[in-house]
Amino acid sequence: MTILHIAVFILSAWIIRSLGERPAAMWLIFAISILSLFWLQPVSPIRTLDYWLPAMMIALSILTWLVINPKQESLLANNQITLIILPVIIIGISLLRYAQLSFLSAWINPTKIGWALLFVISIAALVFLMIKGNISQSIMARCLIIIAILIFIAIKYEPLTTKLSYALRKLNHQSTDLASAQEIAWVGYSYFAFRLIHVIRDWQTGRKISINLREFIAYIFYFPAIIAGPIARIENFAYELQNRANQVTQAHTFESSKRIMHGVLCKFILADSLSLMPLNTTTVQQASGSIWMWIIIYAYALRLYLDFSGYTEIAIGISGLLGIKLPENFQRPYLSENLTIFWNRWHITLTQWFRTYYFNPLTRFIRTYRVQLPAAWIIFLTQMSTMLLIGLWHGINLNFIAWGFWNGLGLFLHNRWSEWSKQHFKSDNKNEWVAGSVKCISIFLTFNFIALGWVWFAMPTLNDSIIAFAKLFGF
Amino acid sequence: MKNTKQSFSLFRILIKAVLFFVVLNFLFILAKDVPIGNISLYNLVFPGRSRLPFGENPSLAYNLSMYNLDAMISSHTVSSSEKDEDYKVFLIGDSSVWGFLQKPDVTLAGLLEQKNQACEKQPVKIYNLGYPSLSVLKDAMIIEKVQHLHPDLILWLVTLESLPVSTQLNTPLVENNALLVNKILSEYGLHGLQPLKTKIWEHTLISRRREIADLIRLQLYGVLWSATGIDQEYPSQYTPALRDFETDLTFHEFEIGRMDEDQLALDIITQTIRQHKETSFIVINEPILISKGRNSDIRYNFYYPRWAFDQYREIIQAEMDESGIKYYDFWNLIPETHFTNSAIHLDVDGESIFADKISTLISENCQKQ
Repeated sequence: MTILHIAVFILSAWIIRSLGERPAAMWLIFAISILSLFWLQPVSPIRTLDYWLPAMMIALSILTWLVINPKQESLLANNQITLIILPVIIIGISLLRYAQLSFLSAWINPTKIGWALLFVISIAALVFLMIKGNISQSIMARCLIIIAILIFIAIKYEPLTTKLSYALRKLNHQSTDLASAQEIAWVGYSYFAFRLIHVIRDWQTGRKISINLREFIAYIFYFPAIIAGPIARIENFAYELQNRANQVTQAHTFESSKRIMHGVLCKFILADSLSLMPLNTTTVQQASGSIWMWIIIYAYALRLYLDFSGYTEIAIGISGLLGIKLPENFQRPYLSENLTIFWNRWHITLTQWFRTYYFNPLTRFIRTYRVQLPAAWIIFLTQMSTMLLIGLWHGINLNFIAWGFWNGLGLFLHNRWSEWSKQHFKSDNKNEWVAGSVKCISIFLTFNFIALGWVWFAMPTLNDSIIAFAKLFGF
Repeated sequence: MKNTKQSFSLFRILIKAVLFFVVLNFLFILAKDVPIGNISLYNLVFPGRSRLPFGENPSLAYNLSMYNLDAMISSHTVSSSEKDEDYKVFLIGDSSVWGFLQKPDVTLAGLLEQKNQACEKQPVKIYNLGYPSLSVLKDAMIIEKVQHLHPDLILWLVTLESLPVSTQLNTPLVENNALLVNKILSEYGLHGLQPLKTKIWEHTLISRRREIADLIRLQLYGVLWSATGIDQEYPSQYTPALRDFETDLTFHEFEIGRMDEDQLALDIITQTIRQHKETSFIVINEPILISKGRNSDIRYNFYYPRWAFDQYREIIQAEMDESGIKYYDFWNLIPETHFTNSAIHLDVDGESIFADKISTLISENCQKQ
């Protein structure tokens, strides 16, 4: 997201809020979200890919919406305007190909009208089959989750992504020699997949939510949060959407503007400045001493936080201008006293997602399993596997596994230490100075553990990470 | 009623913000002569740089090209050279002095420094103040800016390509320092060049945003400069300087076969030296590649047809003699095999040969003023 995107989003938010409670406001949120999806997708060297990726996301969203709603003929009738507008947008964007506007080529590379029509007809047929036919919603739900995960693996596992690029180039009659994983940059897919799986899993576990297609699409592709979240829960978002007019007050506007400015400062001034001191293979090899290596590591840790939290603040701020409150994603994580607190304050909505859809069900499953495991084992298995999954979410390679393992092990050890110290020490220390010192040391140790963990995260290979650790400790 | 009140309050904030912004820009205009570039973390938190900041690929060079001369000089080790017990020698010139493709310790200045010379029992300290652009006016600007650091000797390395009057104002460093350029043109009596036009809004915060951002970036790159000692990109391979040429006899807009003295900015050299009487100067015609390739009978190298360079050597020698300026001509000192990617860039062995020669020169001319 560039400053231009942010400026356009702020302007859009301002226009939408000025419409108040008129239906046009809701339609604008819907339309801008869809158009932003295409706009934010970078132009790929693989012809028309930047058109197909958002189009596929829209198709998967429609199918998901059908799954979570009761099979009724009135469903289509009640949402017919949205069901007309969506194909109109998909076909309309493909018509830009014929507009002969050279500046558009930097933004979007649409497919031929024939392919767009075929795509729309295929999706329409599938929708018709789902409503009229005998396709089981629960089977469809499982299929959608599997598809979302398979796509995720395909774009996060580099050898597979390269193969995909090769196949797409071949399909497009483009040179396969230039195939590379970087060509398939599916902007916003991770957050899209999280929202989709959240909605389907809730539906599977009996949590029903009544939402029309327009609002559902607005939730999935909500324009301030497409790229970097946060991941709101659908029921909260729907509530916020319906009550947004009450939130458009002067105090909210000031607060939201402040969040945007703070976010811009963090992302575009501080984080981008710190990016001049990158943590990568070259700098690790070139760094001449451990002190400078530590400075590079700290700069990277701060940059990561400022970059991500900056984006989140911008998203929360823009959304606030609309009167829609998005959940917080960061709460001063680097001031956490231990790892458990850190993971409750860092990328909060992601960790909550994993807790809800992986950690808690797995813990329940293991606890109720016929073979009873000791509590420590259950904690180890659940925490470690959760962190490994969070690692894999960033990319499927050994370094992200190592990063997940590092944090999983850290969490487990902290858990064991807490249990042990509760039994052996009295925690109600009356001396403020001692308590303050312990707190400072805890924050220092936690920050350094996390910062060292970023070495696995930033380096491309395990070997490079080990070289970085060796330099850090003066070997 | 509530809405009107809210809009009014918002409007007032907007008006205040705009006013504040206007005032801030106006203050920047008033402070146009304040040397903000002197604020530097170099020589304080980070070690000073061995050469002036220049970088075409900042992410690999940990260095950047900028236009604020104060900031460039403040980031250089020369700024920490206030000590009077050293015999300070400043090397001024183009990219060959700066040391393209060479690490700081094997540039001309680096090799000279390693010789640990002494002058009247004072240690000789060498500073690389070369900058990669071909204009003697740019050199004069650097000399003007470092005078407060009291150099004992300035070695000014020149070549014909840095002398055509028509190109003096065309380098980015000159174009973006209109105030200093115009001051030099007027104070040095250089009437052959038109002063650069300055506009009042060029001094606003808005117009100077790039300059300020570069200042901050330069400080941030101090971390990686300190951590790695790297200040330029060192490619594993480079395109060697041309050795074969077309039958081209032209040199800039000069009439073929006639090197017009008036079209050479030699007065910038003579007037600069006259202006700084308290400093010793030696002007050196730097070595060039003398090719043995195709059409080398009419061209020495990519830059120079033989007629132009031969006539230039005679002209500069005569001008320096007439002005009483110490001048040495080392044009053919370095064998052709020791040039790298340009007709003036030397490899380490070439730099070493040149450094031996310059070292002797320093010894011969060593005397504290």
